[in-house]
Amino acid sequence: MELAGNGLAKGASVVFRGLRQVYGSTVALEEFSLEVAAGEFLTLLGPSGSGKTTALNALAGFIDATSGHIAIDGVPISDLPTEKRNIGMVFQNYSLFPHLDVLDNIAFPLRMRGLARRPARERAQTALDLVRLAEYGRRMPHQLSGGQKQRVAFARAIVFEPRVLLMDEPLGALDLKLREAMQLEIKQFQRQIGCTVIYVTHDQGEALTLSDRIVVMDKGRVLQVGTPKEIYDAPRTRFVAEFIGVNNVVPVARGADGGWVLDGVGPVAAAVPAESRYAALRPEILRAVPGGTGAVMGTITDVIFLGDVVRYAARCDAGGSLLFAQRREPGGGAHPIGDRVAFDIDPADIVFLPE
Amino acid sequence: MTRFLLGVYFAIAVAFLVLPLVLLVPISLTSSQFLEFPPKELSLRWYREFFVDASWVNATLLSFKVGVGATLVALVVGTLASVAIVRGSFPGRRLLHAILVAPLIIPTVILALALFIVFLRWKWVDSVPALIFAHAVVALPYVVLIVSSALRSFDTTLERAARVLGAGPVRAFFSVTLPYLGPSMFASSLLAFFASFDELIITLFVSGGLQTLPVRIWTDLVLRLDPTVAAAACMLIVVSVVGMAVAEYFRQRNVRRYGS
Repeated sequence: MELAGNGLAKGASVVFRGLRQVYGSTVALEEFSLEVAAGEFLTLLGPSGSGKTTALNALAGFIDATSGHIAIDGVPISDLPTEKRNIGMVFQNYSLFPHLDVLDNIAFPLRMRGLARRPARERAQTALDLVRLAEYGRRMPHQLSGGQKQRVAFARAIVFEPRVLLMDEPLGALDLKLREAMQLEIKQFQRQIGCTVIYVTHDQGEALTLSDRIVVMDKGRVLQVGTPKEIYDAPRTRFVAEFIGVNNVVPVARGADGGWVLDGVGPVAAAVPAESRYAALRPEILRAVPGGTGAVMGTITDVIFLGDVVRYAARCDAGGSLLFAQRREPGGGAHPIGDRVAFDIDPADIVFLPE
Repeated sequence: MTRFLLGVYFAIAVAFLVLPLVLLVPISLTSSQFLEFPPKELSLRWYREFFVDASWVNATLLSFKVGVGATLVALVVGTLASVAIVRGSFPGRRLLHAILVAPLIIPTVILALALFIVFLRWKWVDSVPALIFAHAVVALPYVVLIVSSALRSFDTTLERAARVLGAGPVRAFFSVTLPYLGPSMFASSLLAFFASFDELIITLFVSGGLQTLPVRIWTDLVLRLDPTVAAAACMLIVVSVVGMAVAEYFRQRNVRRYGS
């Protein structure tokens, strides 16, 4: 009953096949098919109402999907009640049992599996050590801070060594600093345990930080599946580009001379696919040359100093605005508002989007 | 100025509610044969009288017996009914709720008469179980009202958490939902108990020869009035205050645990 750290991949694969969920006249999930590899950290990313939580609830067995099926390690689970699916889950509001102390909370899934109280509490202590709250076993949940509750919830979800762990916006209730610290911890815990994680969030930063793969969803449909790099570097639609944090998405059209023009920015000398409607300009491909001259000129309108990086907003002479960032030289300053810059954009870095 | 007037109003309102109860204490402590205020001489004579007189003691014991029985029946039936009303999706849920709460609204005399007619037909007067049943009808609304409102405010993701961690639906209810309902069930069982304990009208109709404490007090008032009644009343007040204090303690504890 070694809890962690043996380096074996203990995760199970999860397959969704043609899942469809309808509530009255609204379609919450449509044609949801997905294969999650054993031990993978997969994130369902989308705004509220995108169907990501519906997919999670169907896997946990909280809802019966209208049609389609789900299998864990090749075994269909659609007919299994929730408690027989052997899935770990961390909820957004932690859902610790308020009348039980921390150890009894963590021991709960073990007790439900027939373990007596004492050995269950002993194993719970091991899980509590893993999340570095060894001393907190006798506290009641209301005596813990948000971050501590989160870790206890995590310990409770993994103590029975489930092969699949679901996390439903687990960091949503924490403040930003704590959220960033917890992201690293979650990633670390998952590597130690080796279970498959399906993570739901609407926070693109979280998705990029944690995931092996990201599934971007909207209105019950999957828009794009890929590694964080694939999604960020090559979003397939405008929605994906904007949701993943590509700030500059501008319409493209043919100019009067027949060449392609980035609306509000300037002409573009690239091989543009004929059906393109938008161009995504990731902030890091915009190289701003102060005092230079070029096809795309602009004036700095806003400066956000972040220490290692300085973010700028600039208004192009053609009327559009662009956001870009520059790494600061040691001891160097920032361009002041009102500075003129020329944008040097490698056309090969621009992503053209059909929709 | 407004503050001062509100203060005066508050004092009058509280006095109106509490003063009659407070006056009972000196009256019960008199040594004279009669209910008098203020008492000329203090003594515990009537308290002794209460415990010496078998009819008082028996009436009290019967009231406790019926009260506990009616409370248990109301608690079990009322909690199960609340679960059905709040969680179920069958037609007539609201109607069921209304029927269960109705004894609180229907004039007691009418309820008493109805129970009397039914019990008479079944030859079910003069029996303790019958009295428990009749009192449970009156106690039920308190349980249904309090437990169903607690159940409505219960965060069902706790039950989901229990389910996904391996508890079947029944086990999830007993291990997660019931502890949450505990203080509400306790508070409602106190109300249910006192609803039964001081129930007079229905008891007069259906009890036959059985004498509960309120019936005993009632006959005393009709036949001869002595300060034993006041002594009995004072002891009842102490019992109810202690009960309410305990219920409040558990309620506060629940607020701490489940709050925020």
